[in-house]
Amino acid sequence: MFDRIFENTSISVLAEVMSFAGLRQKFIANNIANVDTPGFKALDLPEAEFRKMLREAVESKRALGGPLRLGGSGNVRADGFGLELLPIRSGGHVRVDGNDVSMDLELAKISKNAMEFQLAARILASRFRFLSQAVRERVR
Amino acid sequence: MGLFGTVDVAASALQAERLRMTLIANNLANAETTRDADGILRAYRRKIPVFSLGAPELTGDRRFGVTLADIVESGAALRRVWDPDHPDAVTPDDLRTNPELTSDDIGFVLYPNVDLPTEMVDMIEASRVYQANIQVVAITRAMVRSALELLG
Repeated sequence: MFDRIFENTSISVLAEVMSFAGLRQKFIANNIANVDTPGFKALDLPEAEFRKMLREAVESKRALGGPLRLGGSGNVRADGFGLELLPIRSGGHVRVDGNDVSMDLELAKISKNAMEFQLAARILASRFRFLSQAVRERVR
Repeated sequence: MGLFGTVDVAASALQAERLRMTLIANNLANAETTRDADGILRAYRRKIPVFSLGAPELTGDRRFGVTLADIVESGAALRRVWDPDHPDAVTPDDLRTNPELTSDDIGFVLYPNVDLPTEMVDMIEASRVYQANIQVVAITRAMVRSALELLG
């Protein structure tokens, strides 16, 4: 019975969104950190591909039941979660030193990524509060 | 959750850029230095930082973070001023103590290849990158805080 509570689709989806955003944060931070490194090319995790994988996983779960499973092709794993995505090049114009990081783009992305993470965390927190309230409710 | 790893990435950049600022300050301080630490007539050369990907001590990963891997001297030409009466003008004796000098240099004072506008531009850039990485730490900290809300 407990599996069914925590395999609830919305909780799983929110957890995957948080996991993806958390992993992506490291990549974007790395781009910002290496803006002066010669030859460095900006890397990011493909958001569009992730959303597609998430949508497909939700549909498959609705059709077949069971836990939310994200498939994929690649070799980036989020610890503990079944997430496999290949980092893609996300830089702009290549400068004289071989670096292609666009600082402004990366700063904008990192803010947006943080907001998505926080939104998912807030919604997830309220789901958990709802569940714990149901648990705490006295049986008359 | 790898968010603490993200802070390490930003921390490595803060460290690297701070070292870069120190190099720039050193360049500016020595813009007119004509002798080296031993008093030999050898002009100060502009120091340039070389960054490389990865900061294994901080991030534990060679693909994340950044390190100031090397400090190299600029090979750009020194500034030459014809002034044979100047105490730091090159004399035939100096050709012996400093093998980089040639007889063409006799009578000239050789000043460092430090150029103020270049250093100022580098300083602004380093400062901007430093600020951006501070922002990364702040944003990541906010993410961790909202994740902690899940604990109730």
